[in-house]
Amino acid sequence: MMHWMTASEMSQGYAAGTLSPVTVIEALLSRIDALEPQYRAFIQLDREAALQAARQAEREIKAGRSLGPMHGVPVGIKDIIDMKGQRTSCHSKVMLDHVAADDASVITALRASGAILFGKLALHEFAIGGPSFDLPFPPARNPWNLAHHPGGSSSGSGTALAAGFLPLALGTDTGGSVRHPAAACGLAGLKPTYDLVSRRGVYPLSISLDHVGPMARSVQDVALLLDAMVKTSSAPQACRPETYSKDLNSGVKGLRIGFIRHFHEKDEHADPEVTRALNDACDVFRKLGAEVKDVTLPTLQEFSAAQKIILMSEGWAIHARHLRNRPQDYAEMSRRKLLCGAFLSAGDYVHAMQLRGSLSDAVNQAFGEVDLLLAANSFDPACRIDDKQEVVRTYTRQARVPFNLTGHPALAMMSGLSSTGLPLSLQLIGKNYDEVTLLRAGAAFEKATPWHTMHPELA
Amino acid sequence: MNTQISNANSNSESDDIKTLARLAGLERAMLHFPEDVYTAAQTALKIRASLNLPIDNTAELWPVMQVKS
Repeated sequence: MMHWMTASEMSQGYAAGTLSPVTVIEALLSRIDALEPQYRAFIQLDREAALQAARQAEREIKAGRSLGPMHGVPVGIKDIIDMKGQRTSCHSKVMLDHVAADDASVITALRASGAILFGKLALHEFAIGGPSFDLPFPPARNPWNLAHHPGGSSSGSGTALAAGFLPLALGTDTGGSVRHPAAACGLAGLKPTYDLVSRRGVYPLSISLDHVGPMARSVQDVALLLDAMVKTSSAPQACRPETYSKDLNSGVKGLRIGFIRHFHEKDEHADPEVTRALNDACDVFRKLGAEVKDVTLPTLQEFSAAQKIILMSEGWAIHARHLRNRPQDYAEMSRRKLLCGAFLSAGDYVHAMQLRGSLSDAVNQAFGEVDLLLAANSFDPACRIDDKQEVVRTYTRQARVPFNLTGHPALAMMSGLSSTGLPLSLQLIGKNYDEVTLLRAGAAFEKATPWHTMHPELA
Repeated sequence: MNTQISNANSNSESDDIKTLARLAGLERAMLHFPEDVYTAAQTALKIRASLNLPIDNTAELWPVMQVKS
């Protein structure tokens, strides 16, 4: 079935001449036409533009002018990322008239790779709200169970991938917004090292916490997309390998993995199925030859307090004008979150930034003894989308925010299936700029487990 | 309005929040969405209270200021 093909498989098919971009796009459009009314992954989708891009890619590849492995591969774009001449709605009434004057830097990089930019995807309003019903566009649904949320804020990215609408998507991550939909929808999602991927042209939420990250159904595809995304990076060249795929087959034998058990067993208490899946993952890594031992970091509450104050302060700086003049144009969930910053002081912000430095030191110190960290992702499977109280309660039960605060790269991966048939997820965290080792361990885990091959049964 | 601010003690807090909201230019939000403003203020206070760890003021702030060339 073409809709479950990975981007890497598509790329190989194009190179071998056994598959064409036009065939792929037509198949995906047909699937989207049938399912999108229930799934609500897209805010905008220009079918004709996608087909035109596919025809052009097909001509160029056939003529021997392939731009590389991303040529002709479709990528969905979270609708908070500017594409020249198109509206960037941020899933908000506030931005309905905003047409981007230029491409975001990461879009420039994707265009240069020959990727087919395939629609603008739904999100939580301004990447902070929640699954809201008081916005100009409906919330995306979880393909594993349409009554449940798909995580967020890159909700449409998660939905589109898990529904087989696309093999690749861009998300953004300020407090876990790539890794949360990856958890809820059973996907691989990477929050790269803080300044590895350019944020220019991405509507900001919190300037020092925002990241742009790749999402896919396999670690190999995450690496493929990351390769293309970093082409416009301002991070030092020495920090970027020729390809992030280079060690995907190297296994984890000899790697030292620190398990941050206290985040989900002591600081908070994760759902028992989440905990069991994490313990099983430790066993998998041990069987593959890694050394796994418990490590202790500052408490999750310390990371969380500093991250929230920074996010709210920086978010308020961006949204204050609109919140003063047109508060009615925000959804209730976003408004309540963004208004918090009005009640914090400059001193609170500086205090949080000071704490941020010491928390980063603590994580770097842990990396003196291990190569990778392993932690929980969401502490619960996705709840019902219409259960507002449960959404509010469970959205903060997670171990993602520490690594927005410190900037370390973090990879979310499916780690099991709950008794209710919803995905469970874990996180691997790497040293700064060491995405290669992170993806290497992720690929080894994928090869040893069945989770990434599972797809929801769709109507 | 949030029931948590219904007693005498909370009335004083409520007045404080109203003043802070006015100073922040949130008159319109107060008029149309008072519950959202109170909820946001109380959330902010809770988070501030949770950030009560000792800070070394002599440590170099990170990220450090960088000069532009």
